[in-house]
Amino acid sequence: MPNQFQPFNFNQDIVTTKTLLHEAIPLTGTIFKFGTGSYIEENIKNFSHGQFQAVYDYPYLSSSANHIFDLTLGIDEESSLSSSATVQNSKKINMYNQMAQTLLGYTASKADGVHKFEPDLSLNTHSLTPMKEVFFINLSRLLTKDQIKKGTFSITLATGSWTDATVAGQTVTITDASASDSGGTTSVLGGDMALLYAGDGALSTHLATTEAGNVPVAGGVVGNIFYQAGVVVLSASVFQSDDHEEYFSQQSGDLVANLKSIEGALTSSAISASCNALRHRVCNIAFNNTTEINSNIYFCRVPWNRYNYTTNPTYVNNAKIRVKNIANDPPIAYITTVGMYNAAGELLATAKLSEPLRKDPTNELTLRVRLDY
Amino acid sequence: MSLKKFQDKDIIQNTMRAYPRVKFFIFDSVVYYNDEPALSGATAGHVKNVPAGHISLYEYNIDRILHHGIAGEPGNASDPAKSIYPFITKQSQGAKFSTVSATSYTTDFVYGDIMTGSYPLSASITRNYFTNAGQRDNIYNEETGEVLLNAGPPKNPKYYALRNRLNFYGTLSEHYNITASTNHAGFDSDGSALPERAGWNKDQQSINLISIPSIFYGTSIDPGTVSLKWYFSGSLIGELQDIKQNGELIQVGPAGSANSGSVAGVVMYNEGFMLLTGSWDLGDGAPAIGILASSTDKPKWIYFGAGAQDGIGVSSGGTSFLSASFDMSFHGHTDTQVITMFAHAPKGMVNISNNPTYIKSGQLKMLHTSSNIYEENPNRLIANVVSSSFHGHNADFKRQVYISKIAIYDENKKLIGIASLANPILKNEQDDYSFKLKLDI
Repeated sequence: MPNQFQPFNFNQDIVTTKTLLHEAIPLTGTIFKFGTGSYIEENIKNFSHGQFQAVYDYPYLSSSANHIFDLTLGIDEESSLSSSATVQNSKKINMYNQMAQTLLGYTASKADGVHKFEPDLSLNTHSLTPMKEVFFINLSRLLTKDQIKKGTFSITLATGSWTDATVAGQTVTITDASASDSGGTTSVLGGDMALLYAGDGALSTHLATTEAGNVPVAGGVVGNIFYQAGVVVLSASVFQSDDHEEYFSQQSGDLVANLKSIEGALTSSAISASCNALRHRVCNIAFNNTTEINSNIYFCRVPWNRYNYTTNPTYVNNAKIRVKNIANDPPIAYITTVGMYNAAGELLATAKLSEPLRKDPTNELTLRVRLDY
Repeated sequence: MSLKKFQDKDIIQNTMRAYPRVKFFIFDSVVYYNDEPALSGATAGHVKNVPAGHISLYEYNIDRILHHGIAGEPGNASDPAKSIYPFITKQSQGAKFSTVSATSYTTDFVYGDIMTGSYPLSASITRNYFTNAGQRDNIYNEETGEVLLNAGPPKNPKYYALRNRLNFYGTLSEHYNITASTNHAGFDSDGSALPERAGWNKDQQSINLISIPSIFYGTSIDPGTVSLKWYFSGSLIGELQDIKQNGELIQVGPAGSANSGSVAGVVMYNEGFMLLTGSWDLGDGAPAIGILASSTDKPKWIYFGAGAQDGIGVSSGGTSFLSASFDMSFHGHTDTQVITMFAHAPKGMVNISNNPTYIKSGQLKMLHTSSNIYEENPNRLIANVVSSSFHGHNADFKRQVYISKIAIYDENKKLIGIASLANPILKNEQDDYSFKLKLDI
């Protein structure tokens, strides 16, 4: 219990700071079974509603498993691939619209009033065709924390034919290379958004849409990334070949030949089957996340003429101060704890020193107390 | 959008107290926490990348190869990272990991450099055995050649760190005290006979210190729940419990065993330490198991928990080491602050929605718009979503909404939380609803 308080000077003794803590998050292909033939995987959880599948880093029935992302796809109702014959057509449309509404919001310039995912940042360039068939990778909050660090996202995909998807030269790395903390993003309803670019190779001049006859997009834009929401929107066109015959998916029970192009998978496969096919083509996902740590730093000043005594019971022995032999010996105290009180004199917090500090009238101390929240 | 203000009785703050069960089983230098087996991974030695009996703080890097690659560039193709790790860029705020010393922070890093940490972070129980707990080093005076015995720094600083606290709890039980004098046989105030109780000086005793990190128990160990069992070849040869709830670990089993009722140590509930000083032989027929002191030593409480992160194993233990197993259980104590909020949707209120689909589609939104005037269409109709019981028949319009979310705003009308309902609730004009929202802090 203190018998004297040292008041803070609010202009000089209290400082507010913000520190950015990052984590490097590599998601290697072994987690989502890149390149393996089996579709029976215990890391993957499918649901009876069939709208998305959840990917875990360990068998999901284990309490140790961490949810790492959800995977689904969506098709805009204006897409040429959308028809009553398309498997789960309404679910795919609803998924697209739901994600578009949440992430991009509304616009009066579209027939259904919903912004489409577009391969540019202005969201109003009508000369460019929006991405109408997309995969969604919804990264879990456990991994993205406050947000994905801009300019650090990369995903490596095997984009060739199913039979040789993992052959060297068939993979492409897609990044948000143009984004940084100082630019390359735009602010939308779902937070900051940037574009995903394919690296060098065939995809660098690829269309961002699977529809034929559309205007190519310069620079190989193949998707969007939403940093605070932790959502990656990937155009299905990255798996499209010029002749529309390369095989995207192979799954037992799918059609006669068991082989489908990306268009075939989008129209005649369930969402979970297409997600399986995509998952087996993801070699690697990597990004850095960001956690903002706000801190108050309190400079607790101990002047030379104060805190040289203590009210600790052990300070006195037989009514005599232990550290004094004669009356005019200088007093000594050892500071072990800093108590912080409010204006009413109520103890709010204590800060412990790693080792006691000797205090006597010959020295002054400033103790830096940091409170993170 | 209209907001409804919480009234005094709509917000309740209380504390949810829980007593999580904690159990450690120690055998063959392996600690098992809550009966969880030691699972080996496909790529990692242990699935969680921490040994059995350890808690992984975030349970990151499950069954992964621990490899950081190039700092801060997990996707770098030349050396991609294979596991999650934290990093901080050195900035003016002075933030760093506790593993980076002040000197290293100043000399090894320039501003903009990356400081990395590693996952998983783990915690486990540990055992320390002090043969002479209060022993100090000797001081050798090089000039005079004089040797000051037992006058240097403590050999067992962990014990010294607890001495003050042990004396502090002396009011709870005299067995916490560092020293106690002999109490001769006599009678208590009721006239009951009291046997002689020998005095002690913990500084000169052999002490078995078991340290339990607070992540296992919360704010404190729940008094009256501690149980320590020593098994030899599967048979119980000794059990301690804090039956008086005052921290004394009293031998209670096996029933009728020698030294039943004796105090073998104390437990520090708030700090998570157990100090065992009982040095009598346990198990009449148990052979010498040779833990630590000599190969002829029989089981004693001071050897309880041998193998729990103390460096003792089959090779360093005695021949019967594998016959010994130890069970330690107790209840933790956690307090969770809970805010309960009641959000009311009274009848006649909360009957419209701002959802765009609430308005019938295909209607003109604006009537006039120019540089001088903006007028919305006042005749727009609300979509009729009333369900009809009959095929091909549209039910009459009713004012109704489906409530799917409840948003919570602060006094500045900033959105601070959203509660989503599992299923949307249909609310008609005459319906009165109260939603109970709970928030664990």
